[in-house]
Amino acid sequence: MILTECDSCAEGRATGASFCEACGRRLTETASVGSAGAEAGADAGETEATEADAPGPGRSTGLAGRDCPHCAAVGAVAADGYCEECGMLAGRPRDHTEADGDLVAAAVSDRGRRHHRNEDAMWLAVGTDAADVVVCDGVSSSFDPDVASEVAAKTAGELLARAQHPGGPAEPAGTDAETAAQPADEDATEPLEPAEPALPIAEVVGRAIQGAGEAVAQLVGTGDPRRTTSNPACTIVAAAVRGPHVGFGWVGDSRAYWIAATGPAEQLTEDDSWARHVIAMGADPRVAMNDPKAHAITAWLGADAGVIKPRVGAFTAGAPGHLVLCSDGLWNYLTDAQDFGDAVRSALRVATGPRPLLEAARALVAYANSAGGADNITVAIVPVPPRTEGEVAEAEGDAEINRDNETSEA
Amino acid sequence: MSYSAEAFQNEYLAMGASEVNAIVTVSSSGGEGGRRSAGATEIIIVDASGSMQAEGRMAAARQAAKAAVNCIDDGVRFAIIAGVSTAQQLFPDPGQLAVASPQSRADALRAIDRLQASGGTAMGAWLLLATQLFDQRPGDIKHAILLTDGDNGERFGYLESVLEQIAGRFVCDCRGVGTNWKVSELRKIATAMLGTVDIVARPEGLTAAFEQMITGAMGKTAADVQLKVWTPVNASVRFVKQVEPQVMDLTGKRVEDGPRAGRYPLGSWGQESRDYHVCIDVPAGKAGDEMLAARVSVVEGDTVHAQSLVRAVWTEDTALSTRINRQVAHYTGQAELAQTIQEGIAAREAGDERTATIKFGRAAQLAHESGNKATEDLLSKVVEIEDAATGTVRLRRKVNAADEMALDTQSTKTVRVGRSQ
Repeated sequence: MILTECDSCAEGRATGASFCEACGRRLTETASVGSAGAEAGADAGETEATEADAPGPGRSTGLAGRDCPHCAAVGAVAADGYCEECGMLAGRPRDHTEADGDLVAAAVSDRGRRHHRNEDAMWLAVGTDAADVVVCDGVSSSFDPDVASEVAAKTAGELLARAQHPGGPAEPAGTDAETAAQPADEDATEPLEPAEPALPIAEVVGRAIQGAGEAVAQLVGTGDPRRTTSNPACTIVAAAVRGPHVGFGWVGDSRAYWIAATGPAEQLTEDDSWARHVIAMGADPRVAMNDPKAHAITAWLGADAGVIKPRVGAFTAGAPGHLVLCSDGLWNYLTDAQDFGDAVRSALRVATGPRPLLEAARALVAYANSAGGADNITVAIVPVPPRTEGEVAEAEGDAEINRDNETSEA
Repeated sequence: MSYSAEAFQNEYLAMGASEVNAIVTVSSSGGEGGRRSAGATEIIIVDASGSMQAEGRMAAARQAAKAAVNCIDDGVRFAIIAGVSTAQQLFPDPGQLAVASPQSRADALRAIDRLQASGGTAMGAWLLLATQLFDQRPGDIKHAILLTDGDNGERFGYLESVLEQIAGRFVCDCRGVGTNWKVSELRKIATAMLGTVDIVARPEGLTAAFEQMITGAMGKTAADVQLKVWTPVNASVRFVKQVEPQVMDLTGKRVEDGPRAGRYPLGSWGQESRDYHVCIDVPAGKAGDEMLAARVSVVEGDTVHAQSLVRAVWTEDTALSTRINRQVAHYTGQAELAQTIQEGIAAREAGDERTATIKFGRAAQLAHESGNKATEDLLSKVVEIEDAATGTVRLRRKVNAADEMALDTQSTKTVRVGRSQ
């Protein structure tokens, strides 16, 4: 779910529950995302999602008695979502989900046009000049990849929400209980690097990804016995934005981009994929990306992934721009960096309604669907304000990318 | 009674594919504290034709019938039919059912002592009399044992017409003693009456066989359980087969239940688990489509005890659509094993040794692959298995008739697949 600013205190980041981390007051939810609720092991097609909060589009419980979208039979959809006439599934809760963080961030996840279910998942939490965003893409060849991505997004999101970020809003008093509940490896009082305020954020993101990896690895021993044959697995890309400072990390081929006012999109992440590997060895990128093996990933979250070593990076925006996280369902149609940048900017340009970020995210999803929609599509957009004059270190008008390919120490 | 139904399948279909297969495992914890939800009636039919004199079969049958009577629970209604050229009720008085008690059991044992072998074999008539007696007890769990040692002597087609009339009215387990009876004949009865067929090669084995059948029957706690299969518009059921503990095709036993559903009789149930193979033809969908190919429920009258879903999802991802579901593969193999053995035996009887060798070879291979040790052992008495893995076998010149009949009756017995996948 998405959590917005708590009315009664300045601390507005999510705790994963729908309560303000700082004061315990219930937050208002404006949308649901596909990273909340459904129990590990629950099959969205057969069981009711256990999400008790905001109903998403196509929730199986809400479909009973609807007209069938396939054969148009009146009132024929049963409680489990299947049409009593033609048997077709009327829809799934995760077919299309949106997270609306107003002017701070927005994200949309969509099933696409060729896959029977959405195995992508996302997490978005926003606060004052702060956003935590996670995008995960289930590995289709594993069992219950949709559960893997959901668990990963939720776990990473909650860990990001609980972490003490440098550069974020000051922690108000009275958060001792919350701090005590933090994971043991979380060192809330680590000294900050004022010169490099973004680097510690990246370490937090790295730890959140590792935590997500552990949670996904544990799925193998639960639910469907077939999980032991082919354990649930997924990719992850996560970012924490605090003012102008951005920390990000990833495992697999879900990507983070920086889109400046002009020019090609800057790909912040480097796919853990076969294609990336052969391109690095000198293969023609276009040929490589069209190879059937292009999307075979070389790193993932899952029980068979061994020790998770997320790669992380950090930067501080020197000029305004947008951070975009997405699954390959979008970037595969925009492999050219200039095209990607243009597509995002054009989506933002045409979004003139009251929720421009959400509209832009929807437009990018629509673009991928019109191009074929061969995979699930998830995209998150976070505008990043540039560093103000009072801040140290000089900006060159472009973002300074400080990529750290070391494993973050847990 | 609490039931569960669980479907095992690979729901992913290649583009254009229209056949959906699933194995549905139905389990029941049995009645509340082992108590029946209905009354129970037991009828023992003993062939008393002249041939039963041979090899001390009549004495063994008397002993077995007595043992069976002693296994009947107090309060269960029962009767004994002596099978000759007509059906004669041996116990209690004609047209009556006795209520089991120490007194009535003692009376029954004395009646069994009067059982003498004389006359012919008229299975249709015996079954009709049993049906008339059972009809007095609607709603009961009804079970019969039929013991014979020879071929049916009624006019051709009569037994079949009787079976058509009484199919599913009670469960009948059939046993043949010796080797002068026809497996195909008893199998016909067992299949129509949802029972089992087996050989008791030596008369001294009868007591144990009878005790086992009655004990099994006494363990049943529900009378008339059915599998209800709902399919969507434009879909049809290709077949419904019980595949464990033995192969039994239920497809032809379908009774329509509304425009989109049919019911298949499962007979009586106790604390047990059985597997069913459901195969549905559906119209092929588009990439990403998901369809409910069947709702499979365990029902008793209007009560739905358990339900499982058989799904179809069309995908362009061959990694998904080519996945083999172990349950489906295993039981498809077990059904083929049963059929191959029966074809091998028929070919051998017809003197077609080449076909028999090919069939038995394939059977040896299937039995070996699926870990069906019991069937493999029986096969090895009929053929010399040189290499089970490749299905290389040689027909034995001399085969004991009882061994071949045992192989025939056992051919439908399956082994359960591991649930690790």
